Amino acid sequence: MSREPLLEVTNLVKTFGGFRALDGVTFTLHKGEIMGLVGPNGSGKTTCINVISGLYKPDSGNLRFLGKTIAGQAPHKMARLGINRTFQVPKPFRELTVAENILVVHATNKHTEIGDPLEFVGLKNVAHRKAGSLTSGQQKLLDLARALASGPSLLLIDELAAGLSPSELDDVAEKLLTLATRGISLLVVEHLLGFVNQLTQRVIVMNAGKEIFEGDLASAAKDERVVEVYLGR
Amino acid sequence: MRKRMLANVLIILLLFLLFAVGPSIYQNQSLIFQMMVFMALAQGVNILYGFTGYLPFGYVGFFGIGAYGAAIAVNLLHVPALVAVILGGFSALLAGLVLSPLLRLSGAYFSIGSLAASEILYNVVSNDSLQPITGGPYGVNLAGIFDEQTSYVVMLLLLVLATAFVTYLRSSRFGMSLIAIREDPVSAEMAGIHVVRTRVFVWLATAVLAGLVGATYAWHISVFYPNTVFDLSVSIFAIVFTLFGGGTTVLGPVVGTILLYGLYNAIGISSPQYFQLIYGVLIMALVLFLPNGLMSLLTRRGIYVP
Amino acid sequence: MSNWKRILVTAASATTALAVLAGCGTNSATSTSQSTTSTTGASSGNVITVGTLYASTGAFATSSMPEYQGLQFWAHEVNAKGGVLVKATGKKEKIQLVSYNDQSSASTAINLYNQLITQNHVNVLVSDFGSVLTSVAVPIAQENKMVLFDQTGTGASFFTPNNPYIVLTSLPTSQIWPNSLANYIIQSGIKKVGILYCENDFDQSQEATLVQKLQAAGITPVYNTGVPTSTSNYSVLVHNLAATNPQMVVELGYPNNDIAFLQAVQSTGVKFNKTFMIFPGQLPTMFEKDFSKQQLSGLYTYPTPPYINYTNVNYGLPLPQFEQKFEQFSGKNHINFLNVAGYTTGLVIQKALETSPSLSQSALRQAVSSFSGQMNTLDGTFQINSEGAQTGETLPVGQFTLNSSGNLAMNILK
Repeated sequence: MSREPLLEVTNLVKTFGGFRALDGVTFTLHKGEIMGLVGPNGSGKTTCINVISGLYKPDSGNLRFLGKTIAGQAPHKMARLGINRTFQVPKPFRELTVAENILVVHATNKHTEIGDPLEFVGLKNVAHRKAGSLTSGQQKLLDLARALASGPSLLLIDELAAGLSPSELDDVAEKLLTLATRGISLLVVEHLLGFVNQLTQRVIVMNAGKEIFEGDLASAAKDERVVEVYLGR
Repeated sequence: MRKRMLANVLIILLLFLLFAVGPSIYQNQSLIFQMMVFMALAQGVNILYGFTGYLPFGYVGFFGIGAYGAAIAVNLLHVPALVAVILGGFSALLAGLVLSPLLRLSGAYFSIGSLAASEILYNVVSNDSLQPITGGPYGVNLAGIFDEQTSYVVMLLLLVLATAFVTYLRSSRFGMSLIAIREDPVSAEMAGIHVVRTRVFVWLATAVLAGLVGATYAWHISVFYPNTVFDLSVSIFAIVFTLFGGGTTVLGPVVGTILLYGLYNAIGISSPQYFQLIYGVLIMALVLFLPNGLMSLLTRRGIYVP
Repeated sequence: MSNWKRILVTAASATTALAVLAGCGTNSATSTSQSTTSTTGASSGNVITVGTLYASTGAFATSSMPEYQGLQFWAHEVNAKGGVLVKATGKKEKIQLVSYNDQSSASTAINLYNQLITQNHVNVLVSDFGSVLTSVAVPIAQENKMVLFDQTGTGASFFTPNNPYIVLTSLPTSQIWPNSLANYIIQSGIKKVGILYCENDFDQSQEATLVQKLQAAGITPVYNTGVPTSTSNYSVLVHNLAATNPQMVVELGYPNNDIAFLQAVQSTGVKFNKTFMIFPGQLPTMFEKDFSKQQLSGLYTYPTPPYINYTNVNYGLPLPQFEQKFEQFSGKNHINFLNVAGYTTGLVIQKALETSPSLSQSALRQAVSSFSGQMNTLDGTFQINSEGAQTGETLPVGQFTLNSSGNLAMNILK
């Protein structure tokens, strides 16, 4: 695990109307790292992911990927640079088959270490079924496979754990850990702290659009500000 | 995959034979010609709606611009017919470029927006002050280049081209990316697909198709008024034929056009007083019970339809 | 599928099936208002097939149907006498009308004209009413080398030196209609004329001729504006016209425009000294439906038969007999000009068949040229120029008046 910075987020600000969803977020993700992004509802976690993946343009602040400024680039450019993501509510291409869902993805960076994305997530046996006919758990895996198919070096995971059974959770955690060993860095937005704990010790806690804590999970649980934000005073 | 390629090529071949041989069997060549026109336009609608998700109620706008582009080329620039057809397609391309901001709209807004756009084109072309250029409301006479046979052959080639392009879409990654854009533009972006550029390309390609078809139509009938080539019913027919047969397939528009346009002429010739009733009931039944068209009867059973 | 849906499907299918069956049933019946179709046109049998189109719905229906009836009446009269004595065969042959409904659509008409020629192989081709529905027939007739008997398509562009395959039967080309009107204006000493015309071939060509003739006599219109043919609200235009204080207003449009214009004049209360419109003379009953006799009295127009009674008829029925027999045939209690136009077309066809040595299209065309200028019907003198355009049957100017019994009468002005 090198200490070379992969993603540098500096003072990101994003407002919607009068509402400041991101209020100057700053953190750095390093190559080969898994980092958790946690915080209560409405703290700006998903907005952060949306800005990094190109869905929103930040109002101000900087975003650097491998030293290159990428703030405000369109999503398809982000994908081709090597950043990809999953969605909170999976959005498969329902009319296409599972295999075709993978086929449409532009694979600009071939990360052959993980091999066939469908095989990796375990959906090879349903490759010829229409994506719309999968269970919601399967659709989440398809989302992941689609993100992997573009050969990313940075994967943003948005609330993958919601609705998964404990055995499914273990399975997914194992897969994500494997990705990290194959050189893909992960930023995992998550509610379930137990799931985060399976993946990494390093977390950033957000509240009201700002990061309020950066460090390991154990210390986070004891931090005054974190406790206040999660449990109230 | 190999079998599918064969099926696709076979379809194109059969289509070519059908229309090449058709006039020897059924002498009303103009009827068969018009069927080709509608089939080609239906494939255009198929590409724009069946694949990319935009329902163009104003599709006839490009058809009319193509007809008038060719007419102006012949009457003002005195070019030969084939060059006029290409210039007609080019005029439609220009119109498509000007109208491409419409693509920012979606769903019903786009449909109505495109309808408004085609009405604007119609009113501009048929304006009295443009009479020296377009003939204004007094119509166009292209008797000088009248050539029934050659225009028929050109139309046949256009139909084959349109069908071949849809065949390509049906089996290619590009075609899949169109469906992806239709389903979920955001995910499509994250899959690395340049959504805006792809949409514009499809928009312009279908505009050029309609323009070339319109120019060839003008060449074939040689006398027309603005409301002949900007008639809303042209868009409606193309849309209904595609929806009836089933979008996103190659065969859907083919079957839809042959059945519905054939029925239209059969009823129209034998008992036109019942035409509106029969056609209307058919369309109602289609919308209620077969929203994905005839081909969906097969595809929902898992049978692959080319 | 739920039960409710099943019932709906069954009902829809049943209705469709019934409608199709009913349609097929009517198809084989022969009646005066349905289409009569034959699958093969007989050219050497005992029948001469005459193919035409009519519009039972749409913008042109109110003119097309009476014209078609006039043609049907002619066929009925001829067949009642055993048929036309066709010189080419030396025998009496009955007339069989083969017709389709184009629903006022020019693009539908294209297919149907082609159907008549390529599938029905008709001996004689006749156009539908008016310039729009005739225009698409002109290249088709020329391409298939069939003479188009053009009933009332008066566009001057149809007639060109190199095309023998067209003959205008029942009206002169619209370009020459205004001769009588221009003469009336000039001879009456009217100096201020306001013109309002619709932007289509028929009306614009008349405006062009009228303006040209007036200007040659030193009269420049004080108002001259073109409006879309679809115009239905003339209120603003009437005010604009009135503001120029014309001594005579000339409104050139189709029947709908005439009616709308007159309605605007009535409702705005504007008074014009003299008003001219094209169609009251041709379709008086249509105008009497919407306006009172007092409102129509004083209007200037082109009178046509039955307002004109030509007494030098040497072929076909003269007006009084035509009126009586046609009303019997149609069950209506009046005739209008379109009936006469359709009947006149039949007369031209009949005389061509009676004088042509063969049934070839070029022989028929030559036969028509040979009796041009010599045939006087209830529609006037049939006379065509070398391009097939009608130069006879000219229209005078007339004015509506109220006669002693309070009914509308026509005063034809010299």
